[in-house]
Amino acid sequence: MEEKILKTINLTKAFGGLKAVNNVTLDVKENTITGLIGPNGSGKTTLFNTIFGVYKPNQGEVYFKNERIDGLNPHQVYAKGLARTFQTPRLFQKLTVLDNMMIAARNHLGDKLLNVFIKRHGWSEQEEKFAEKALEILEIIELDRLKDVPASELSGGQMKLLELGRALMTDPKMLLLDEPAAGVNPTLARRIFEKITQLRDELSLTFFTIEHRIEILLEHADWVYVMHNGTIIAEGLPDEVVNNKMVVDVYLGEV
Amino acid sequence: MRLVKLGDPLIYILDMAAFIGIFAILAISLNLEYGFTGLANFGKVAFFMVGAYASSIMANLGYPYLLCLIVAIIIAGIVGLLASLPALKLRADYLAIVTLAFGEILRYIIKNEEWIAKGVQGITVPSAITIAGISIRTMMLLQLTIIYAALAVCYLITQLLVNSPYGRVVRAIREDELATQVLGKDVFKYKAQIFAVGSAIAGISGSLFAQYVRLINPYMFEPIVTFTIWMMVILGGPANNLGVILGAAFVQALERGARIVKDYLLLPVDPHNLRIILIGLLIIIILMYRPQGLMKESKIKTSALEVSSKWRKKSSKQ
Repeated sequence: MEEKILKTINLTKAFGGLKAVNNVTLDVKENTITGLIGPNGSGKTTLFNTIFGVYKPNQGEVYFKNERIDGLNPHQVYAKGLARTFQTPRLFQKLTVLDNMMIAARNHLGDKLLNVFIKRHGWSEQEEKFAEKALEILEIIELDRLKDVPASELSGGQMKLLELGRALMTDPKMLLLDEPAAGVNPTLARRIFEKITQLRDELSLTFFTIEHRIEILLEHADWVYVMHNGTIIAEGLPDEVVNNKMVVDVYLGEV
Repeated sequence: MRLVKLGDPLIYILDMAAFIGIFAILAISLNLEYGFTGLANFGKVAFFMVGAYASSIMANLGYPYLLCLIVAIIIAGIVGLLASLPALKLRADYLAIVTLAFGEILRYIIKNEEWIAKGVQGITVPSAITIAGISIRTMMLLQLTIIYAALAVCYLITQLLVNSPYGRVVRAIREDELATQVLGKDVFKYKAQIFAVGSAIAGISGSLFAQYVRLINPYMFEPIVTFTIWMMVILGGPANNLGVILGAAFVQALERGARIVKDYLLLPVDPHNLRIILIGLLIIIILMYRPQGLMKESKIKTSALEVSSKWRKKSSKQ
């Protein structure tokens, strides 16, 4: 089968006495859309944060492409080829939509203090290429006509889209998406997932995504993990998981 | 109205202009830290003071002014970097307290350790311009030229810096640190660099100030100076360099203007105190009705804007 691009082994993150992520061992296979579901407060976002280096794990290991990444800072995790979005979009509110995209550019010469002065020509050229790329992505997510608007003026759904676009701008190999379709209308939610599927197929990207809309996830995910009280209680193909009694009890039954 | 013999009124104007220039440099430096990067530096005066003292001690040792200035820039930059290392790991509000305390500690050291620079007595600063028989007016014009040349250089450097991908990153840090981090930027490094550059610029201003007033003592570097610079930035418009220069001009015009008016007019109130009330009122009015300041945040001007403007034409043709 496909290669495992992301692996966690016995990953634990505790806040005081509470183990928000408790001994989680899972893997995400390359070129898949892997879903992560579970009730509110089950530790999904904490798991993402621990994988991405926002939190240091108390115990356990994280591997990305067979390289250990736990203990790294978020910007070092990014350097390995991971990107992520947040549950509530964390945009740069006062910056324009285009500038929000441009921040994400990888290996930009002009990001370095001295280069601003000594390599003006170099980064200026790069800047043009990055701008083209950013605008192309904005066109795909249908935000290109809003490129000069401050991010704070976007609607909730547009903010979600921009965050996804920004994550794509980083040229990632894998994306961790925290509820990419939360707070957007059902049509747009469906379109976001169609886009994700298309990106998986066309660019061979891997997605690990938290999502509450089970029906959409069932349609698009290749594999699903279920989290409850910090642990993984079930995994499998989407329709297997939905029919798993334990999952129905702790999660789906609530709906 | 009373009449006072004051001599050359132009001197007052030139004096005001000199202070505007010196403080405009400080405003630019705070703007880089606070306006663009979101770092609440409440110890700005400390780096101004370091520049002033470093430059003056060097000048008293007989070094040429250009060297004094360079040493002032480097030392202020290094002190800024060192001060930032523990402070930048803290949350924004703690950064404000730590920098405020840092400025006061440094001032008390200068005040009490008399071997450094004669403590409260202060030190005189030998003039960099030594031309025999020069008139006060010409002397001031020369000093003004130097101050405004320095202001122009500082303005240019910071403009280049904020209109670049680097400037975009620091603005992003101001908006959301975590999001900037997950987009691959080493936020701590950026903040430390900005602090060092901001402090170095404040060092330039300190050196010019010492040269201009020719006598410096610790009482000139009390925290009120920091707040004056903050007023300039808030009034002028954070993240707009032209705006904060305007802010500096405005606040200094009131400040120095009040002293002039005090000498020329006899008013029922002391104009010097009236000035404080006026500035306070203005701050309240600005924060209520125009919280972004006199001028809005400046756009990030890079070649990306040109690409972007062509894009609109391309898509509208289709």
